[in-house]
Amino acid sequence: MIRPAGRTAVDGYIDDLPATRPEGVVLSVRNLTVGFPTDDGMVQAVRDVSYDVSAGEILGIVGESGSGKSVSSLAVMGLLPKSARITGSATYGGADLLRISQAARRSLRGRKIAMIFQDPLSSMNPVHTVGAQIAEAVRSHEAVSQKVALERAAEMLDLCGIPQATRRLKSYPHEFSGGMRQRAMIAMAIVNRPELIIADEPTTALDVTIQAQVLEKLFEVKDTVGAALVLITHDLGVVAGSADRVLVMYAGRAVEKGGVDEVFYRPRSRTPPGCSDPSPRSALPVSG
Amino acid sequence: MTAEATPTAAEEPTLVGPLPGVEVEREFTVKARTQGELVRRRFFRHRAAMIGLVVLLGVILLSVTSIGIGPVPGWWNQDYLATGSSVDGGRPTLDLTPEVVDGQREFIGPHPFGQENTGRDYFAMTMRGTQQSLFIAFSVGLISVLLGTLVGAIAGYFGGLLGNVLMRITDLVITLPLIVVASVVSFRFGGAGVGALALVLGLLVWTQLARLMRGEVLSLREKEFVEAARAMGAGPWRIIGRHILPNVVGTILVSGTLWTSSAILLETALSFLGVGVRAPDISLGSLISDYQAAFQTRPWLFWWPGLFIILIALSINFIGDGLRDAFDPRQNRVRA
Amino acid sequence: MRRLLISVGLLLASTVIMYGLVTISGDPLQDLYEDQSPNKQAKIDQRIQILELDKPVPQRYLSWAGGAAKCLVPGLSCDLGQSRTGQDVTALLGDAISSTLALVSASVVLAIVLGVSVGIVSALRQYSAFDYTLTFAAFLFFSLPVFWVAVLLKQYAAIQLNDWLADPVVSTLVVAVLAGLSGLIWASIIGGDRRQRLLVFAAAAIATIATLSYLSAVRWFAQPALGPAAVIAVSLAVGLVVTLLGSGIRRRGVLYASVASAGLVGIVGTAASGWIETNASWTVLAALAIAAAAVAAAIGYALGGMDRIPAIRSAVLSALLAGGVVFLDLLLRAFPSYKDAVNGRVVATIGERTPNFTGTFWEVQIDLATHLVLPTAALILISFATYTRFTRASMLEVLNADYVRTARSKGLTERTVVVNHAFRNALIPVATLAAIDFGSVLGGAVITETVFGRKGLGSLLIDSVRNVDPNPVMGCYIVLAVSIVVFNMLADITYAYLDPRIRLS
Repeated sequence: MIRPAGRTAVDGYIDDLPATRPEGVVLSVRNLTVGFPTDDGMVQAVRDVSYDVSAGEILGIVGESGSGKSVSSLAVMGLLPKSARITGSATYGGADLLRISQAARRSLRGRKIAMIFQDPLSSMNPVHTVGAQIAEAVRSHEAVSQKVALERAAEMLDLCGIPQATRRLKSYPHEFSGGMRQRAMIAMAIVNRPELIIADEPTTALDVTIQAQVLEKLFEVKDTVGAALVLITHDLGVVAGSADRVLVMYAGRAVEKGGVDEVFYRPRSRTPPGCSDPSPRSALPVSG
Repeated sequence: MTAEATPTAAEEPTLVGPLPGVEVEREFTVKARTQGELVRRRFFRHRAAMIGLVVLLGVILLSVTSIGIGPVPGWWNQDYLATGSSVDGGRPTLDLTPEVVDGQREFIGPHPFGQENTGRDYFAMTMRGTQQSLFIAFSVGLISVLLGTLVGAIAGYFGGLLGNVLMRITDLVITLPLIVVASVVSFRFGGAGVGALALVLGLLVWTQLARLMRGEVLSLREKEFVEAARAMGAGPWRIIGRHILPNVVGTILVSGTLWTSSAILLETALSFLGVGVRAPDISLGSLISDYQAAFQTRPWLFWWPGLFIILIALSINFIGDGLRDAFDPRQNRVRA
Repeated sequence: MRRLLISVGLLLASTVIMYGLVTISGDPLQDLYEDQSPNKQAKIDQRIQILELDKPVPQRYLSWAGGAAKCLVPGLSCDLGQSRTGQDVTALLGDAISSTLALVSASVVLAIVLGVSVGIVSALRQYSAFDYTLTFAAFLFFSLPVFWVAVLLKQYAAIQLNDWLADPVVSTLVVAVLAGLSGLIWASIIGGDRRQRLLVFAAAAIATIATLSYLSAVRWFAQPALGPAAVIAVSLAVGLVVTLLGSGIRRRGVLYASVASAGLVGIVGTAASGWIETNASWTVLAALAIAAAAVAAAIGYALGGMDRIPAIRSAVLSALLAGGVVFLDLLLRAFPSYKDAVNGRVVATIGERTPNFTGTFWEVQIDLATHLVLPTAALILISFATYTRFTRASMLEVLNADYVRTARSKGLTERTVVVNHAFRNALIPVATLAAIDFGSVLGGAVITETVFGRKGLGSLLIDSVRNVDPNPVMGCYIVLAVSIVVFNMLADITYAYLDPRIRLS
């Protein structure tokens, strides 16, 4: 899949940074299993899932609600509650993310691996301005002044298609429209030029008419920054149209894996049609 | 306080048969449970609430059976009104320390809680006080729940002018500082007996619940299942009764319990100040008020009623907490 | 604006109801019927005249309302009628208000500060021993009857405390128990693995034993004083702690500014302590506080570097707290002479101040404070429980929120996540709670004043109700109702300040 090149000639710090983009496999997940203890015993949300993400590519993870797609990425990021039982490995840059120290994990999050969540309204702190929250992402990894961090934030907002970026820095999340909020979230994720972006259903909470636009923008900035993208969604159409490779999950297992053409035109199993149809199918308490 | 917006009928998940060529596993076995069952289960698992329940029932049983209620006599041989001579300065004859510790067998004796200065048996008096305070507390809780739910539900569901007027009245009652009005009112009616006092207090405390009710009913009114019921031709009262109320039962129960415990503290405070239950009748608060000066010489006159107030209030609070946890769908005590 | 009008309207309506209730609640001449003195009839007539008992109730209400309305017009003096003994209600209220105000403010402030802090720690260490103990304690306190606690404190604590202060030796048993408790608490708060917790326990316990033994040996509690060295050391520590909790000590600019401001206040305060001691008055102290804040702001600006604004905030806070430490030291210096003046019965149980007491500014303040100690303790007990439980629940909810997850995914330190994101959001509902709680604090104050013999609004109210004396009751009622409204408005404002989502509406 060839994406049109995004904005590369940007006045700002992105072009100043050395182009040490990684080659080859960026993230390698092996035998990932995640369980949650409940009153009725251990609930296995993810079972023995393995996949690779290569530099610069788009990996689509599809599955219905409850298939474990979000949980697997949260596990990789280390954002699951302490009660979760995680086994397997997630290798990034030579280290196993599931076993490194909290401090090491913190230094990677937001800087090398960034995450975009589903609902931008609840995912941003309502009492801080958007600019402050993006600047915070900068200053927690780099010793720069607030002023410089805010400048970078404005740049990112502009890159993500938000008009009057500098003024918008002082706005609060509830003052943005849904689509703009998600763009701001994208800005927050890419501000430190990560190597890997994990987007968990980034457009599901948005208006249908806006979804395509925001998705376009996401692909654009991903290329500008040169990151790999893991796109989690239940929308097969999006994946078919944009992803390089696809991982299909069902009930916590990986049931299909491979290039988009392979999976879509030569599937091994019938993926339940419930994938892009949000009807509830089972009484699973854990939603993917 | 959020409530699940699902109808209360049991929901059995429909099993989709295995698709051809694909093996379907059940990830785990979860028993299908109704909403009510889930709540009950969570409540009975709440240890503190269970202890509270046991203690409360114990206290009620003790107070009612020991000196009897109304015309029915109890098993305790002393009367709370009979004066007499003080034995041993009125000291409690209760000895619960085991024989091995102080060499004497455990002993209840004729005056386990001691006697007050006119020789009346303090245990009987405490029991009588407990009865009165419990009666008032539960009546107030009941009245406030009934009134609060009614007013709140009507205001929330019907809205409009009626709703507004009701809410204004509610606000009016809320603005009156509770203790002030309670003092004035109970001063007037306290002498007219315990029932009157209970009634009057109940009329003062229903407002919080009414507000909560209105809020919840307002939001539930917009939900689809209410629309569906309306489309099927159900009248407003039927909708309120069958669809809305079961979903707010949690809030009602929790609120009611908490107000009952507040009621007992309020009533004892008023009785303490002399504007609640008045002589010759007894309330736990009046007992403390009467004997507060005796603290140095006869401390038991002070400790026993206080202990009972605390026991009752504490157990009701624990029960309320258990109910609140049981009804909260977000509650997730994951065993780490 | 419309809401204000409605509130006023409701207030008016409620006054009618109140007046009616009071007048019909009994016979104002009750006690005079048993009077045996020769001028019984004269007394009765006099009272009838004062209370206008010969006129119908609605007319009495209108004359009262007329007088009360004069309060709203600036320039006209307030006429709230007279009590049944002919005293001017407005004058009565004036004294009562200051007494109750002191009691209530102290309680509310302390309850909020303590309750919120404990609630937050409890939420952060959910399911720990600390959490469980505190939850149980909160339930217990919440179920305690205020009057029972008040009587208990009055009869028991006062005597015990005063006896102990005569020769303040801390027995070894008490030292051991306190050391153990302190160890347990700190170990629970700081958490960590088993080894770390044992270390913390040991460190805390040893520190407690050392401090208490020392204090006991030198009979410190008989003549408490901090001394200049301690004052300066504590001031510097204050600067450090404020930074630690606020921006984190990695923000050097903030750290330097805070420690510098606090230290400066500590040093200047100690150096000038003699002057402050002799020239003390509330105006002087207020002026000093403002000066300290201004200087701190300047230091914050100068040393702030990359973090100017947080540095200024932190520096001002540190400076004010350090000022508090200096104030405390000066107060403690006056303690021995105060103790002599009251014959060793330091902790008081009756009234607001020792009758006929004259002394230095500092001694008078101590006097007021000692009379506040027990009533405030009684009042705090219940509010504290509410704030703890509520803050804990609010904090837990916030900690599970999506934006906290986002904050973590950005790689922020746990401290930043908790302080900048969780804490601020968790505080929002607490503002509403404060408004609601205020009503119950007032109610509790009524009871506490009666027990401790304080002549505040509460006792005035109850006495007047018992005497079927409507004018003072109405006066108290108005004051209480107005203060509740004011407090609610304050809470609304704080809420709007904390939550930008509701600012525009």
